[in-house]
Order: sequence, then C-alpha cells, then structure tokens
Amino acid sequence: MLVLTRRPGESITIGDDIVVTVVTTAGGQVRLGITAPQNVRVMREEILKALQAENSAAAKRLNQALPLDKLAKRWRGTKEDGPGE
Amino acid sequence: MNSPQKHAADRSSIATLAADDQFFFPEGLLGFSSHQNFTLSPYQPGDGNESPFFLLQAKDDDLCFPLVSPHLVVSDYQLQPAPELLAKLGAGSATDLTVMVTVTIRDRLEEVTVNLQGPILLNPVSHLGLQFVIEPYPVRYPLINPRQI
Repeated sequence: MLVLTRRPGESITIGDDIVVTVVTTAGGQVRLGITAPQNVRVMREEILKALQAENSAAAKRLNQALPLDKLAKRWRGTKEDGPGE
Repeated sequence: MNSPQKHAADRSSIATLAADDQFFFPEGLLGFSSHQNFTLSPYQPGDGNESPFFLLQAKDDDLCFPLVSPHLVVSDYQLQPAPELLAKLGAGSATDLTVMVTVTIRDRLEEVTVNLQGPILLNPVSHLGLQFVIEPYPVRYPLINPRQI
C-alpha cells in the first residue's frame, strides 16, 4: 500500500480526475473531501462490503426452490389480520 | 426467454412468469458488476393468489434476486436521489422511478429480511436500473413484522 503524509487542506490525486483532500483531523478522525467523475462510485468501505455481502445472500439460482409461495401466504396473513396463520 | 408454459410444469421451482420487463444496469449490482442485463417479472404463487414479490433475473445467467416494494414493508420509506443520479437513470424526477428492495430468503420465514439500505431503482421508461445507497436504513430489516409473529 502506498502511504503518503498530508496536512489538512492538502490533497492527493488518483489518476487524472480523482482528488482526495484532507479537510480536518480531530479526535483520531480524518475528514476527507473527494472529487471524482460521476461514474466512479465513492463509498465508505464497510458500507460497500455489507451491501455486497447482502446482495450475495439475496442472490439465488433460478432452479433453486424458494419458499416464496409460503412467504407470500404468510405475508398476506400478517397484512390482513395481524398475527399470521 | 422464460415463458409461463416453461415454468408451469414446475411449481416448486422459483417462478411462474407472467410479464417480463427488461432493464439495463450500467454498473450492475454491488458485488455483481458483471451482470448488466436483467428481466423483471412479477412472481405468481402456484396457488394462484396474489404475491407482492418480483424476480430480477440476469439474462445471461440463472442468477436472480427476489424483490419487493419497500413501501409494502415500511410505510414511510423515503429516498431522495440527487439530480446526477436521476440523470443516470434518464429520469426527470424521483416519481418517474420504481423502487424495489432485495429479499434475502433464509431457512425460517421469520428470518427473511429486506435490504432497505441498498434499494434497486428502476426507470420503466428508459429501462435503466441501479442500486442506490441510503445509509440510515438497515441492510437487514425483517419482512414479516416481528410483533406479528
């Protein structure tokens, strides 16, 4: 990993059009400003990881038997008259 | 392409498809960037009753995601896509979009959750889709209200 030292107000560039600026540092936290093209997704790493993991958990194979019928029935039950079957 | 006939013989399999709508996801879904072309179909239960579920099915694979409208799960679900994001979807305003969330099926029905943090935004006119991120909402929210179980 490339490690660079920067002060608040200073920046680094990634490629031609991504700029990461250190805005402030306080109490062990670093506040970053990021300028990037629209097609570059910028996210907190843990958020991306959690969403990738949840997509993987939600992804199914078409030939996989899923309890969607039971789920739809249960769901209708809870919506219509409170406690299900 | 899947036809109702193809699936009618196998009700225990995932889907009986009634109507298909094609969507192009320029960025794919998070963790699934190589899948860009999907078909959205309402899921029809084998018992003929109505179902709130849809299936988002990759065109070039047997991969699929069960979806449901977040508005059926929480009554006050709100998202405010930025103008740049609306532009990506070819939409003029958020009201042009259909919002869905993925359903994560687990062994017990009570454990089934929806991902309110990473909704799927679809523009039925431009046929473009993407996965949005709304951090305040949970990744795993119970589909069936725990108080009602």
